[in-house]
Amino acid sequence: MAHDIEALTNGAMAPVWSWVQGKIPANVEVFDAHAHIGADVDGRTMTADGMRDRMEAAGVKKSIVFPLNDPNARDDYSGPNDVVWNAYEEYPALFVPFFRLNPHLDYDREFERCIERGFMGLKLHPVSQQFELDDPRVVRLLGMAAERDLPVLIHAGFAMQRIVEPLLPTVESHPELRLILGHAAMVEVLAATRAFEDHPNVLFETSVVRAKDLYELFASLDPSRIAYGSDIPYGDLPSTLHSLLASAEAAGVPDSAIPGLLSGNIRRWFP
Amino acid sequence: MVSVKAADRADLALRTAHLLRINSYIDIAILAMWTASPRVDVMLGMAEASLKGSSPGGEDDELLDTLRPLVREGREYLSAGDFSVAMGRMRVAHDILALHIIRRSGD
Repeated sequence: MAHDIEALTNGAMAPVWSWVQGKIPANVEVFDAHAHIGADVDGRTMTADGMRDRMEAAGVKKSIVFPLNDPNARDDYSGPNDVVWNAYEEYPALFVPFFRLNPHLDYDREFERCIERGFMGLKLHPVSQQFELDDPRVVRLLGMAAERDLPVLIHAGFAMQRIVEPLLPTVESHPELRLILGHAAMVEVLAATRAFEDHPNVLFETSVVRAKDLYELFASLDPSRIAYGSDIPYGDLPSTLHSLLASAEAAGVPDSAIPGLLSGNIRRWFP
Repeated sequence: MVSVKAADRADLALRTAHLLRINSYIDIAILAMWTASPRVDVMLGMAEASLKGSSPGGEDDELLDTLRPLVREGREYLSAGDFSVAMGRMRVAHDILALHIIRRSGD
């Protein structure tokens, strides 16, 4: 494991990592708004200790963590949610725990259980759980989250085909809903910045988004609405930090906005 | 049509075409990695091949010198079974190239 982490920043990555470290102001922490703990049907896994090791190696202070598309998920996702909660209890200073639900199934009981337990947000994945964002069960769930002031991170990245059009009515009817667009709504990024520009409770999270897409994001949206993410174990900290910082620089984002991108913007919701 | 040796041309259009070609092969290689294509090593080999030689007029040679080891090491790490490390290098190569093209578009 230690070798894997070292390999992310050695060889041809050494000058890249050095550049990234030079771009991060000395007194600014990094807050990763998108990471996973658990196991996925595709075979990928990540443990609490694995996350801790990666965060320490890259100097990341805090990470939002939630389950993968777990092969052992019971109908209500309670098992994978417990794995995340246990990780949080082991490292409460490192992790911000989000729970995950399947909107196709009866989610009320697990929703309440997780809120009572102290989970700090909800993760929804329209591709893995095969639902549309305007499905009445999803709209109801988002309304419940808004009512309980619970932030929601929605996968809006790879394999998504409908984002803005099905989501905008819910955002308009629940302006208090705190929403994180995972992977920055990359396939519709320009349409999304236009649609959600006047909805300050919608944040764009940047994990594993290509630099050319991030350039569009930075060129079209106030940087205070953008938050860094890694998508561990699908992404890694050095390469995702590079894409964020290099794209921001190319788009002319001022250095004064860098602390917000790295942590300040998501810290508004998780101080 | 005036015939001009490729090595003598260094206009922005040819430079852009050259870089877009490399970009497409890196893009294909990354998609092959994401989808666990059985031909992923061949796709990475094509990306490596696209980086051979000097750029038009040598104008983008420094960029190519940066990209070659990233793609080569990415292929090596994937072959050794380390997807995450390999993907990190390919992503960085793709991003550096894309931002270079974007910057040059304003020249």
